[in-house]
Amino acid sequence: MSEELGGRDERQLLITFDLGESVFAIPSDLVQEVVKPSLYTPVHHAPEYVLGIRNLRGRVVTLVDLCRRLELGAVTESGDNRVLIVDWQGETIGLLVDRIVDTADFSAQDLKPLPPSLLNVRSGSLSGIFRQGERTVALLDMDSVLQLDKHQN
Amino acid sequence: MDELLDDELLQEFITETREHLYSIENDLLSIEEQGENVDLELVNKVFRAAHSIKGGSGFFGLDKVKELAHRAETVLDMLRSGKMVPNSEITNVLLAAFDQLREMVNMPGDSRNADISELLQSLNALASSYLSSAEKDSLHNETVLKGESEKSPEISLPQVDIDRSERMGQNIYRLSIDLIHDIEHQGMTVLDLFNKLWDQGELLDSALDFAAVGSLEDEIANQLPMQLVYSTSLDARQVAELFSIDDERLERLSSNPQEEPVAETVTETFEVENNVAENDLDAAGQEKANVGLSKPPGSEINKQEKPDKSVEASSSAVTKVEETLRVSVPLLEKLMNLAGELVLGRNQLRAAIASNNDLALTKADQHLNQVTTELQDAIMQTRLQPIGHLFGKFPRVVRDMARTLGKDIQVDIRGKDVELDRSLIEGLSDPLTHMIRNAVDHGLEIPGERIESGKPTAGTLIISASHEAGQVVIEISDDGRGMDPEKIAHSALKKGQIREEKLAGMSDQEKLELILMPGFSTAEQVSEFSGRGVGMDVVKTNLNKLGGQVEISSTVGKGTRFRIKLPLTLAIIPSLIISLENERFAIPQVNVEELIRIRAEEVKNRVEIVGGSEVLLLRDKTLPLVRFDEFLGIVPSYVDPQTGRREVDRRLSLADRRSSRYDLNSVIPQQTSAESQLHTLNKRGDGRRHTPDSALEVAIVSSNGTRYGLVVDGFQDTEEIVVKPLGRHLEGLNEYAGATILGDGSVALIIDTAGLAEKVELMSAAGSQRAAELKQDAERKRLENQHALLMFHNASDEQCAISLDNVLRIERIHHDQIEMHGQRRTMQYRGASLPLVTMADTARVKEIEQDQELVVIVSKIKGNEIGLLGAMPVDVIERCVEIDTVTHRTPGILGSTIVDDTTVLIADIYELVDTVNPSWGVASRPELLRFDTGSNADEGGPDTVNASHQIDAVTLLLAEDSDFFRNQVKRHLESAGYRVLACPDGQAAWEQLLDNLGQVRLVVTDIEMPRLSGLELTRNIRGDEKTKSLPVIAVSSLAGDDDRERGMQCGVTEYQVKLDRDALLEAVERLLEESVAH
Repeated sequence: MSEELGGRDERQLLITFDLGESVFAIPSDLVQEVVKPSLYTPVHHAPEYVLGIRNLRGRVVTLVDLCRRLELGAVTESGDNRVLIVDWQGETIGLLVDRIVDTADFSAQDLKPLPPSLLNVRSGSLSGIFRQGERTVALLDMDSVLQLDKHQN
Repeated sequence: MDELLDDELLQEFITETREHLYSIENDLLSIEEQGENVDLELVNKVFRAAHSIKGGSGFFGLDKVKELAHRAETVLDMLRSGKMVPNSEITNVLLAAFDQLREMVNMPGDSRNADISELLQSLNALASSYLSSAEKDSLHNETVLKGESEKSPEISLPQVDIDRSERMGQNIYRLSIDLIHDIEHQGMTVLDLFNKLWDQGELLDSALDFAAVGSLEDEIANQLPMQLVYSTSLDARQVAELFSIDDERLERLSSNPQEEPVAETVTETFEVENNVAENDLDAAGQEKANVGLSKPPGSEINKQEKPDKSVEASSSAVTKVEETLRVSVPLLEKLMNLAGELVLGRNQLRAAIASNNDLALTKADQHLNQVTTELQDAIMQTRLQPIGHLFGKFPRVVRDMARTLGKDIQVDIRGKDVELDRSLIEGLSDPLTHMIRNAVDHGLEIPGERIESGKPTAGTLIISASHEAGQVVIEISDDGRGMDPEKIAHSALKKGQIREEKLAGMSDQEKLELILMPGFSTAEQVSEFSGRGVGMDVVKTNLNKLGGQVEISSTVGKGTRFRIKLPLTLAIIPSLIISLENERFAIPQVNVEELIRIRAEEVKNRVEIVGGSEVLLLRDKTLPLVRFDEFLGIVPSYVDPQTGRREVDRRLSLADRRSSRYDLNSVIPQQTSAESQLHTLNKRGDGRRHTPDSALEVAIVSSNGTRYGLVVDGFQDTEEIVVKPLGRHLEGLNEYAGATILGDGSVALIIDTAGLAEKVELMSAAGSQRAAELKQDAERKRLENQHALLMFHNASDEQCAISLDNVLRIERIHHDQIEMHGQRRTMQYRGASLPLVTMADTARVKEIEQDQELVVIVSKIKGNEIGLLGAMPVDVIERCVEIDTVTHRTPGILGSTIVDDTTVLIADIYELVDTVNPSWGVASRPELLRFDTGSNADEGGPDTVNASHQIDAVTLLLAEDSDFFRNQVKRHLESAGYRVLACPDGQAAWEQLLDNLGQVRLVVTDIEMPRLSGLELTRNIRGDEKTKSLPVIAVSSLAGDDDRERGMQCGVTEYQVKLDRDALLEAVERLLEESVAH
């Protein structure tokens, strides 16, 4: 996977955030805005990782607990919780994360293969990892993260 | 000249004219239909439209338009004055004229080249044929009118117009209005001027005074005077005021000048108001004139709101004119308000940012958030249009086609008010038109054919729109010849569109759907109207593009129905908001039939459990009940104000449990304010859900023919909601039709009643295996509990019964007929002595009293007749009753049941006789017993049946699921000396049999049983080497020959219908003998 990406030398800005113990990142151009969690309406019978739906300026947005989606438990409630509003294939989706960390300037060349310690994440969800200062950051493959599971529906 | 005209003005004129023309079609059709009883108001409306077009086109120099409009107007005037009775010929000519007008108005530049001579001729011919010769002249004659002053030019007008003015008591004026100074500089448009003119009178002629314009080089060329000839009932002063012009530019024209007093005009107005039926154009004009005068000129908003205008005004915008869209004034005002709010919000935001005040920021953010949401919704609403705009054109389409094809077709349009996004309406136009053409062309038959097939001459075409299950459903149905699936299949085969082997496996429905395949057409020959070019496949593709689906249903000879389901992504639907816990849901109003509240004390009577699920008794019908909270799996919860997350509210659930155990009032503290009382009510409502016997709030909902009750916490308001789709991650959830944003900004899910029903298997239950099982269960229960009982009394307060199967005859006797022989009673009966028994002989019941009228119930047991003494009255009942074999069980009484609220003791005649007089040999043990067990041949008499004997007795296996019958049969068999292994179903019996191989000598089994049926049990027995020769007696409630046949096929040795003790015992004895013999 890293070879594929290594071919490109495009620098892009990432948003990094905490999920449980680890730091994850997604490209900032996917993120329309970051909002605080607010009231939402639970959707019964929805997949476990879907918290519910909320109103975002007149749009009904599906809220996804990114921790649950990645099979890392659930987001721990705190005042630092944030919702990343992303535009994925024309649909606006809110991703609940534990805490926004920073932004990172990233080049595809920095991407390394996955270490075994991160393999407990839902398979296929990561594009790879890279170093940011002291920390290791895992880059999420948003298509894979948000793709519907096959057995769903 | 065109260059001189403002493009915008012309565009406005065209738009307005199109609107007039648009409504005209249907109006003309209605007029034709009404015939002699024509609605004058309708004719007036069309007349006014023609008139407006005439006036405007004069201004724009569209002479041919003006001329044609004028002639059409003349004919309409004759219709109006009753000189002509509308018929199809007149309507045809008028329709053609308006078609031509439309064409010319659409292409104003080419209008001068249009050939309208033929139409003019037809119109003239129409008019002339109804006119006297003098009147005919007035059509063509022009009369010269003179102004008051000498210098003003003379104007010649058609005599018809002048006559009309006079008839209406109107004056004719010449006005000179400068388009630049009087109109443009006053903030008005020319159209405003025309509207004002038309509202209060008639514009007879108009012309721009080009001479006054001067050349481009002229410095003073800053005016554009227009000459108008205007007929109105206003007096000169009023006209001058109305148009803000001085007297110089206004003069009265007359062939016979005379001043009309104003007072007279007013009087007329009152007459008109009291005389609505005869309301005429002039009257309407005057009425408006008086209203208009009291208002400042140019109040255009009021004009929009006039009902007669707004109806037609909104009609054409969607389907024809794409450039402009009418928006209702209240909506516009709402948008304006919201825009104001938005500005306010921005200011708050700025202030907050400037002062760096977090609280203010949050407030501003909330405010803006809400305003934006509302603004967005309001703007979305502007896009919604009633589908009537689209449907409106169909009657004309159908009428024209029907005429050409010689068919008689009634069009029935329903659901005009259903609102759809205008993009959807636009997209629907072509597919729907095509489908309607198809229906008229191919679907509906010519009158002759219809009569032959016994149908009314006129075919019916129904075009309807409705909301259903969160979708808009459009139906086009006809009562024509229908579509033959075989013909369609044949045609598809012939064209090579489908292979024969594939066709073989297709249902009729699938064959019908072949017409949606590309390139398919059932038309035998290509006709003018349909079957060429666009076929149903294109219709389908177009509809799919809109997210719609097509369903076809058709019955040969009966008709065809196309159902188009459209998503209502943007549609607004009125919905009921329901509450459950802290959540709210919307149910589309169309799916809600009624709301009921079942009081706590009624719940027990009205809610029953059938087949494991709750049903509600509602006016003698049962409806499935769905507990919405259970369906959703909701546990009491609350929203943590700090994190915004939902938490399970344990406190609340504790309170619930408490409230279910104790008096509700004692748990809830006394509160005084109205608000807290409301709160208390809500709390109590919450508590109610968890107590089985508390009141229920039920919404009776329906969809696709399924009705059920949805139990919720409470009902809130009804709201017009905008449906928003759910995201992809929630796609599979068919119980929701989408989501909506409520007034307070929160999101509510919309319930799809059909999807929900499917999810809880209400709907699928109809054809499912589970339904079959339930039905079988119910039938079995019914059969098993169906008892025919002879009711009699013992002591007067003791109701008794005996199975009718045991009853041979009933005789009324007197007390003195009874002979006592020691303890035994007998009576002379048919020349012999009949032994008598009474219930009191064995059972703990009272003796029959002396004053009771006696009956003897005669039974035959082992060939001997026995009489059971009872008392009148007797009755025979046949019904489903549960027999309780425990409570009243004593020897002689097999059990009890409840009939009409009375406990009935059921006598067991065998036991009675057995106990009273064993010497009658009822319970004689079979010979076989001694033969078989050998050693105990001399042990005990035939009259002593006890457990010690049974140990050595022949073992029989009994499988029977009904407790009652199992006990009965077991007792019968045991009383005959057999040992009985009784099992509640086939599976248990089979297991018992395998455990007791070699012991069990014969099997008695019921047929219908859970787990393993009697038939399956028999098959098992026959299929196993160790058991295959065992005799099997089937004892069943299923008495049909088929049932018997099936039993025998499975290997049942003997088949008996429940329950004949003697026959059963006889068979057991016989079969055991036979099996030993082998």
